[in-house]
Amino acid sequence: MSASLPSLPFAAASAVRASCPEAEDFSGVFNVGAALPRLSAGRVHEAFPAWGGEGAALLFLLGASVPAGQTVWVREAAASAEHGELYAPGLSALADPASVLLVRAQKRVEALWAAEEALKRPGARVLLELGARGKPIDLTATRRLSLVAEAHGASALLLRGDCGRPEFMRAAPTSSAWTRWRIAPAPSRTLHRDEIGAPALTAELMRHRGGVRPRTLDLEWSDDGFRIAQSRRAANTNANEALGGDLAPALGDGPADQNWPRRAVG
Amino acid sequence: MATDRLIKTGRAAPSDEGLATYTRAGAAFVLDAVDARARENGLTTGMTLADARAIRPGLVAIEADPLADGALLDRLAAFCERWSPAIVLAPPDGVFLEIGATAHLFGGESALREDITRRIAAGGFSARVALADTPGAAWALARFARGPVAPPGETGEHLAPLPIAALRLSPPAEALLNKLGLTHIGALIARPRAPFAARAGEDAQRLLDEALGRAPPALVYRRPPPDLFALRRFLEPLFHADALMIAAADAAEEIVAGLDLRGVGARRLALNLFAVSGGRRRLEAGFSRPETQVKALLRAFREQLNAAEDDRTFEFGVEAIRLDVLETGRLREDDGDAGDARLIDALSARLGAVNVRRLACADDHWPERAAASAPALTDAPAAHRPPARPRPLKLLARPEPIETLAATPDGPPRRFRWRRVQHEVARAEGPERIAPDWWEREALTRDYFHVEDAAGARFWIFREGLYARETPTPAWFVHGFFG
Repeated sequence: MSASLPSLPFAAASAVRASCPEAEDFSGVFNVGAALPRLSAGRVHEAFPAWGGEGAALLFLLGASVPAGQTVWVREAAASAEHGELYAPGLSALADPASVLLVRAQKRVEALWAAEEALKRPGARVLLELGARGKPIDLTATRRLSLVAEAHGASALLLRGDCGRPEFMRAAPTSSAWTRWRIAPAPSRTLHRDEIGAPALTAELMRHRGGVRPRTLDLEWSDDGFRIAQSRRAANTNANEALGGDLAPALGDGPADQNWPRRAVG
Repeated sequence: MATDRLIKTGRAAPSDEGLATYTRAGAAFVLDAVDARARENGLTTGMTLADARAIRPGLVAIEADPLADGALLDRLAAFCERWSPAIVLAPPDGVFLEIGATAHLFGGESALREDITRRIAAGGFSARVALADTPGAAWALARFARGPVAPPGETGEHLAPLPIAALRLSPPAEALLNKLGLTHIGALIARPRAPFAARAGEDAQRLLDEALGRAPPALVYRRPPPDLFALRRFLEPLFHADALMIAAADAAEEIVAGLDLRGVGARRLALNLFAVSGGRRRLEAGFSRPETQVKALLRAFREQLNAAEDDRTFEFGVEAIRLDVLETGRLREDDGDAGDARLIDALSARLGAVNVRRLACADDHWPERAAASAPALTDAPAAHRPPARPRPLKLLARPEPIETLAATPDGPPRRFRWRRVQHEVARAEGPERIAPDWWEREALTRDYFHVEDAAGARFWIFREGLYARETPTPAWFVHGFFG
């Protein structure tokens, strides 16, 4: 059963697979076997932070993307002013600070230019953090980034702080990003009030250009990457939907199931 | 120079009787600077204002403004950059240019002197220009002779007839020598050194030696002179960035040849543009590893030149450019990834070197100092181990005060209000007590808490000051955000 498990969510989409030129990327949104998000290289991926979710969105983009020798982190001045400067001691839990090249751009055009330049390095990972000031970036800007990323096999990760809160967004801005996520922080799972558990977040896949259906994942960060958070809600609703419907009874509630998905089912 | 400034700024009009500035010396006002007319009328600097007024009742005298004069001298020196990159200020009213390497580009020393005099006069200043082997001699000749060019090796002969005041001696030394009858420099040149130094002082001996070129002068350059530079003057002013790029490429060829000879590469470059109007623009570029290719050297300037093209300063064109090598680096085989270096160079050139940075943890427990960062063009900051306790991904430049409702005096708050939004604290870890170093008298001990609100957003907050011991009312702040 565990062997056939990963193919389930994609059964519905498999009909389009043949016509999709990037077949390998099709299953690439999620790690096989774990139903975990994987932001493939050569693409633009954008995350819209929900209220208070900037940190969670950064964690998601860095944690779910393909690691690279160097990460170019482009920050708009507006983002720094609002949320503070990148802090090396905290960053070191996610990535080696020495592997991060921090680029501060005063203007949006400079930030976009810097990201584009950085994407020209084959296999690069570029994180572009947009602030709340100014108009949202348009289709042309994301299109340019997509083309450069694709040509060089580099990952472009966009933190879209430029559109306001997704809750209040009237219409989703047009963009050519391969995947679009909405990231909200989630309470961590602990037994006591006076301890804080592993960082948790809710990642909602809003759109996937490869045709993967929208879904919501409750994720938890650990030292070796993301895992599905075993909250009651996740077990009953999201996992049920995401994993094809017939798994829910097998997933128990509560801390006893922490080791999932590595445990043996049945 | 000071009187020229007054006329130029409209604070005084040229007068038949003369124009002077004065300054307070003890109980009296003394003349500080006099213009040519006043000098003809027998007025000199150092004379008291009362005496001067007695001689020339119509004298226009205005109080000196040393700050404005200093600023003007600096601007004048900056203007002189077009003739030489090595400039020394000689306050209150002098500027030295090292022209050994550039005179031939202006058609020789006499032509250069003409050019300098003409351009400065065009700016509304009277200037006397002299050329000599040493700065001291040039200073003396400019003030006490009719501003000649002393050919190389003939400085001694030119100096000999000048009064000893031309040596910039201290007043007591000058008075002493005058009393001894040694009124001309020529009389000093042949003196035995030891008795002269004993009488007039070591300083006088040093000044004499420096003027004659027997000792190297101690010079403080306005800007450190470049290791290498290439100057290009144009017969007709250039207006377009493309044309300037061609000229810069030509200059870069010369630079590259010079670098090659020394076996080094350029780490930092400056491209100076000199406008016909007298304005000046300096474009800088850095390289993360030593560069030796013309193309690579110029790539960094392309964007900046395009931007400079629209500058009003260059309305009448650019008459000369100079490419300076400010810093060189030894070439090494294992100089990192070429692609990375190129990216860092390109980003630094457009966004500014300070905006492209490398990060590291610093060796300090105080949160604000625990992070180090340095421009990527310079060496990476030394990396230390991160703290064992959790630290936020982002830190506010300045902790922001929050209103709190605390459950217990020592515990974390039950809820807090930050940026006008109420947060219910669902979970909290702490406190982690961080005390300032003992020499920081102002700073208070901080108790940090890692808190999570009901929605799951995580904050790094602290209470500043130990209750009762350090402060009666500890204040709360939010300092950072976790991922």
